[in-house]
Amino acid sequence: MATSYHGLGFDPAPGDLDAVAAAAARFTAAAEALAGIDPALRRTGEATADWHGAAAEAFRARLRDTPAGFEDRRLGLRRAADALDRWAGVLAANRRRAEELDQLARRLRTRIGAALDEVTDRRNAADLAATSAAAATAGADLAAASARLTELEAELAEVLDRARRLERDHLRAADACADELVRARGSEPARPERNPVLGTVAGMLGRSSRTADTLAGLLLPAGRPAAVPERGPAGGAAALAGALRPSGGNTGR
Amino acid sequence: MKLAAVKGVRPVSTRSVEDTARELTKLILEARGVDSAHDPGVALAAQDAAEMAHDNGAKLVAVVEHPDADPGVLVGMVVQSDGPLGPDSADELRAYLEDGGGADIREVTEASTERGYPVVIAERILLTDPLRTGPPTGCQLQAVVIEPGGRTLAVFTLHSVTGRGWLELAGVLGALLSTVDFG
Repeated sequence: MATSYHGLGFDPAPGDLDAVAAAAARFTAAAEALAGIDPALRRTGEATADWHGAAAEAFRARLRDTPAGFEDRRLGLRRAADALDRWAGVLAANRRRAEELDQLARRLRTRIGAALDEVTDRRNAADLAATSAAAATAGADLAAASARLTELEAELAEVLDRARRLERDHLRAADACADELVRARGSEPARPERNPVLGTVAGMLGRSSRTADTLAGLLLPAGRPAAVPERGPAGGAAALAGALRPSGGNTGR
Repeated sequence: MKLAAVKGVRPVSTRSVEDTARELTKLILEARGVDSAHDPGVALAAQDAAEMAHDNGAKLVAVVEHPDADPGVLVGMVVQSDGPLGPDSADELRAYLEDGGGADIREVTEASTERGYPVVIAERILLTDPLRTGPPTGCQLQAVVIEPGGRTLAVFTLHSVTGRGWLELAGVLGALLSTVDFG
């Protein structure tokens, strides 16, 4: 069943749990049906061992022509059913997590709306203050309201970040399940050929990161520890993208 | 690849390890105060850092400054690809970083310069130990500028140890990257 994640703005754990469970059940039923074929054929051959004559030979020839490999197919179906069962477990857990994050995001958005209203009210009060004392008080109230708004926006950014990480993990798990289903058919998953330069760039990003880290550490004022806020600053990537083309052509994706 | 001089970006010479070490020493003394002038460890640390920068192929080492920010450090490197970089290179790099770039990557996005060079941007929050609960040790913006149809990629890393004025520093880096010219 499709779920709307209005708080998050996207579905971090897409998938239809009912459809997955139904597919797993169909694979299980098919595997169980196949399980009886090989023993039944064996029993038939044994039961007619003492039967002789042209009709018996024709029957045995037909029996020998019966397609083989039912056990391999049964094992493949069983493996596929197990993979889908595991995926159903992951999907259910991820959807629960997505719903929790969405609830958190909805509550934060509601509080951000109220905080925005409060900032507007406080700004109006500051603008309309008739005395310097009233202006000072209103200014302090406005600063406090703005700080509350900033804090809530940071909390929302953190929740959205957790949802993006959930989406990444979820899609990786979905890919792993798809690979397992391909292997259950006796094939190997096709992998797109990776551009070899990506590994080189990744290595250079790592070296560049370590070099910058070392240099920045040297340039710290004496006695001052590195002190990035716990959640880290946010929005740097968007600010950089925006500065690349001041006309506003970059919006990130 | 060419870069223009941009306000707020103070390059350190990378002509030789010695030049880099000498200029880094000056910067360290500026940051740590005159009391550090008699500390022999400063010159040694600068020498080690300069060697590290050169060993890792840094073509650009700079301090990035903005009136509303604590200074950041910028490192630039250049990668040559064996084959021409196709039109999907930016998308591939972005997907690669999103999937396996590391747990410290907070965001990956794509943009382009006015010259039309694709830029893949990753924002990182560095932790000494991913399992520890202490504050991060720094934040980084990494940008890879791609020469479309060519073979060159320019890799830039901006590092701040405090995060103060992070968006302002990002803006300065954006102004610098806008001047990248592979021609």
